[in-house]
Amino acid sequence: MAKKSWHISRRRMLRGLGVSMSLPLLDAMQPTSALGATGTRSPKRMACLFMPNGVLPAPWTPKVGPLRELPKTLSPLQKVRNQVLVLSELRNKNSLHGEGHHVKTAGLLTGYAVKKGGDKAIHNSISIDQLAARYVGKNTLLPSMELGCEGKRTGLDMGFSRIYGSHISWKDANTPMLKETNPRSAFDRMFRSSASRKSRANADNAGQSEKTDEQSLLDSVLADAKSLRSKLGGADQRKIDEYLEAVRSVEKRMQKHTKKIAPSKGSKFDIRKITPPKDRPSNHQEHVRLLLDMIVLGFWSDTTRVSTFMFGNAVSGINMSFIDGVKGGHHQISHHNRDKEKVRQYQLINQWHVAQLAYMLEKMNVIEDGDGRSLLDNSMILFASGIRDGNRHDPNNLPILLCGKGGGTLKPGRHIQYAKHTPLCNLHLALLRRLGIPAKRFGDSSGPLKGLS
Amino acid sequence: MHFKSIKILTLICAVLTLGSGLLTSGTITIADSPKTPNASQVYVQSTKHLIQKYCHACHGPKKQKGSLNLSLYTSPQAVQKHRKTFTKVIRQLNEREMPPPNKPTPTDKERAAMIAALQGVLRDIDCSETKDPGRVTIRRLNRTEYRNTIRDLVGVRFDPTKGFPSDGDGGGGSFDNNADGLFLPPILMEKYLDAATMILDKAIITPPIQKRIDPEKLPAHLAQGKARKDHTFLNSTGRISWNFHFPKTGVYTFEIRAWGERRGPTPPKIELRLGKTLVRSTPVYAPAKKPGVYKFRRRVNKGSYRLTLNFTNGTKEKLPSLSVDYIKIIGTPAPINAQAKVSHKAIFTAAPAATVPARKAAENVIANFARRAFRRPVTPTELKNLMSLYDRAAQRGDPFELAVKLALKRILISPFFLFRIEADQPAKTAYRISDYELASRLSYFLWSSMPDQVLFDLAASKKLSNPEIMAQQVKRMLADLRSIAIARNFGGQWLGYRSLGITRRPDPKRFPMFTLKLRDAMKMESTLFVHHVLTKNRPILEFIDADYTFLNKTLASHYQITNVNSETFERVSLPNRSRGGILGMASILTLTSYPLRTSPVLRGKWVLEELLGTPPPPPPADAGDLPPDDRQMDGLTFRRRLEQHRKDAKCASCHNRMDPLGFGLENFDAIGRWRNEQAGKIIDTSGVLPNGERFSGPQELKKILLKQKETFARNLAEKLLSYALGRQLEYYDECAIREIIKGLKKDQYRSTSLILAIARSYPFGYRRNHRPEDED
Repeated sequence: MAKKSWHISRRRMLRGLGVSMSLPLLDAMQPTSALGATGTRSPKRMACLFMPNGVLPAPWTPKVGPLRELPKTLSPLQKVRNQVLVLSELRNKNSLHGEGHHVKTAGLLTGYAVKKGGDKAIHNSISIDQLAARYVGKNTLLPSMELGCEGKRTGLDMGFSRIYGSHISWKDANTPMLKETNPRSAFDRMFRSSASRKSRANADNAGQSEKTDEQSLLDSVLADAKSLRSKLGGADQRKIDEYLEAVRSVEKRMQKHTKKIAPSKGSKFDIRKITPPKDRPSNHQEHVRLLLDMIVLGFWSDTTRVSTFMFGNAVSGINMSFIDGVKGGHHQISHHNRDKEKVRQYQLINQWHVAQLAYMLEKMNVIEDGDGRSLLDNSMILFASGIRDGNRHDPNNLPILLCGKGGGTLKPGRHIQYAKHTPLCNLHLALLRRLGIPAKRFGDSSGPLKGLS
Repeated sequence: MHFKSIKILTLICAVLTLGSGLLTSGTITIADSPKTPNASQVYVQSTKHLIQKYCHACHGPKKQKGSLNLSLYTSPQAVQKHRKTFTKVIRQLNEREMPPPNKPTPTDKERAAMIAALQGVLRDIDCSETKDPGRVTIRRLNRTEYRNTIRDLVGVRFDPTKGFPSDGDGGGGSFDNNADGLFLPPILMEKYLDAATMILDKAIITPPIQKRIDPEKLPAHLAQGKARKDHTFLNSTGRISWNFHFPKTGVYTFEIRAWGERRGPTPPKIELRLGKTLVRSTPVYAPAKKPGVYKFRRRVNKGSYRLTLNFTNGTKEKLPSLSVDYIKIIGTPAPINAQAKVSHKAIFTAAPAATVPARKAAENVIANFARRAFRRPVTPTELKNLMSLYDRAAQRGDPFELAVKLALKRILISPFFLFRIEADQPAKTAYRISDYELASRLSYFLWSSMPDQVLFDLAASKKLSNPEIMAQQVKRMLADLRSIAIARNFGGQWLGYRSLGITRRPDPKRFPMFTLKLRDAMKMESTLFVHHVLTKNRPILEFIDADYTFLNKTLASHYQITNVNSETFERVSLPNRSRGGILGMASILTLTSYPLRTSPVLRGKWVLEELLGTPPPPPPADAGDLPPDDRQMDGLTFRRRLEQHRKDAKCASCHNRMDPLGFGLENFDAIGRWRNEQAGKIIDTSGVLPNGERFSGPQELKKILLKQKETFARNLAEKLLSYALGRQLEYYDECAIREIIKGLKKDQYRSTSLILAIARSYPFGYRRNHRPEDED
């Protein structure tokens, strides 16, 4: 049943668009028959999805307690509502000041009050996904995967570098993780780049002891960079450090997998059944869905266990007129000024974002992960905006959904209302702990968020 | 008069509605002419007291919140000395962060006066004392530069950067060649590695590999059996194994020449294994008199493998024996295209011959390539390191071209190729950059690519830094087709048309005629126009108004201009002056509109910010917004609604500056088509500037803007210098800007004099070593 409705909705979507396109994951995404639990637990995965420009509060907020009737904006989640936690009254205190968007975007997963200034002076802190990648990313081809619909922007906006507003994922204080915006490139990176091919082909070369050409190339340029570094100062050194770091990470990936990478035992993942997605999605909805598909694929194939996704950058002006009844750009409409017409359109835009989340959750819910559970059961999908109501730039009581069962560590299907101004970082800490990371504090956390399990 | 000093006025736009006499006499002139002595006087006479009144309670002699004591700075000189502090003060005043709302706050007039005076004081620097070329962080080639450099280095015509992460589009005073915004995440390193492979595969013709293995020549532990003169004889189960490196992924043919001797019904059987994987097995029917050649084909991933030929059924009596003559491994030839023939020839500057040992030839090829890729001479150590990769491949038997290719690949992922690195010199003060570094600065400025052979030769003979030779070269480079890069990248980011249709797109339902074809035509018009003005020594004022543009049939019909019948762009004289200049271009008019309607506000802001370099301050957080559509609502035209909006005092001050400029362009719709009516009403294109000056329509608007030529020229000079240097400008660059503008004015604002002045400027030709204060 689930299978059938999934097919229909996808086809209907395509017909609605009036375009012909390849169905990238159609064959692969069929639910597999239930498999007996194997006893071994599949790994936990975490994805953080960022929606720009906040939500209209009233149609977002369900009754506290078990999720039965969903308010309008959350209604697309109906089928998977028992996989959803709605969390209220969480606040990102360190993003209170500065300006309306960039601070609240860059600080969402870092819990850090980013430093004012231009591209040269960017200063943030490590984000939870990157912290997670340092721990759980060791075991996968890609430690993490950063995706988004809009590319990087630079230059100053309201006194803050736009680099802030285009990144939620931060490797360290000065290094945002660049997003992949092209679904095809994301796919190739997982399954077709020389690094990934290498590791997947290694089974054939077993017994080969000497270094590959790539490894000796990388060794050789590392030597160059190191000697160069010693001759440079300040900012120059940091640039070469970035280079060194990048080379090492590619090298590590090539060395790491002497055995063939495979999804966990029992998984029905088979790359041969998957058609790569197309390069240029013809519209925003297709773009979003193809990128979300990449996260699902990455998790399913165990190519990565950590991912972030940005529907748009801060202050995103993506034209939302493709939604029935909406006319105009996202940010423009989000400043609704309580104008009736705009409020109506703003709600529709919010609901559309939730529907895309539902699209992803429904897929993950029917994919069998090898240990008898679904992929969604083993995942934690955070869906969040950096502000409450787009009209007000307010980082109190953020709109937060936490989906999936986190490998049995979450008890979804509820709306939990916390005490006013509970730190968002408590949630971050709780997520990190669930991934087995022994963090004591994160940002302004006062302890891991309670009541999730 | 007001308009003339727009630079400062927009910063302090709150003041404008008040039409204050107090300000106009003193502060406003300061901004326009940086040397005006009045800034300091104003600071001493009034600003200081305002600061005392509003700031000292928290940042004064009694209390020093944030360790800031503003009472210490009694003289303008003290303000200049503490530039960083006061830059922050100005920013916080401008953004209304200080004083905090719960404390006494200055009136808008006073706030504006403080900002203007402090700005003036900071700008009023003494160029005979201030001499700092600044320091450009080493920067990797951005996507465009990488693509162009590969094109000129290797000669391949395809886009190797497809799939590279975006380097973003400049904005807010920054370009995509600014090192501070160019990161190198692991994902990009992977792409560089893949691209290097792809590029060299396309550029170099490698003969298919052919390797013959004679088992009798292999050491005994590898080839079991009896080695005969020209073959190996196996009479019981045995194997022949050897290591082999497959230089690239592809289909290989394995040829085995063998024969067997049957002593019963069963023929001998052999199998070939690649590592542990079975390639194929086959019975050998051929007798000794007529040996057979057995061929297998298989796709093999690049890498080293242990290959094994097993004789599987020779154990028992009456079972056959087997003889193997040779095993051949033959690669599949890659298809050769015409392009590769050219690029291959250019890269292989030497070839092995009777008198030239292969290694010597390889060294020649590799050194030549490295010198061009690193854009400087190569050191012996570097060459040695590169040769070690050649040796690695050559020693295991890779063909010559393949072995060279490995070293070239190493060059393409080296930091010396991927980054533009300028070397520190042992000096405490500023020094002239080397001629090679100068060649790169020039080529990346004008071509977004590497220097060509002429520049390299001049650098090698140290002649390039000679001012006359450099002037010749700049002119030559501008005349070269590669100079289109400056129009695409500088022009495209400054004016924004590079991102047309990407970040800003008209609504496809309302404007179905905005096709890719039309969009590309719009971009092309702007690119060709900017290229023409910048490289053909036109006056830069033609950006504001010109009597010609570049059109093809598609765009001409969009403009309702007849007599352009080809899709090839041509220079077209305009029948009237409503179109000429960038403000009449569909690209800009579309960029400054919302998906569903025009926006006089956006257009006005665009003129102030991008054209004149005088951006208005950000709107207050609770500013409202107008409807996304411009159809009539509540019986009001869009213009009327906007006018209502401006009645709000907190909005008026800035909108009085922005909106009239935008009204002047209302004859152009949201995709730049001319219109006289909207929603059945004649469009009102009149505007009144805050100084009372009235105008109507684009022609009169442009005349007014032309009066601002110095402000415009300064803005263009600042933007272009920032692009040329690849960094944001600092206060000390003011001196270079003054020089550049002086020269421009003398030469009737001709573009070549602007570009030459930048190429000759102090920050362009000099650098200095790192200092601790650069860290901020």
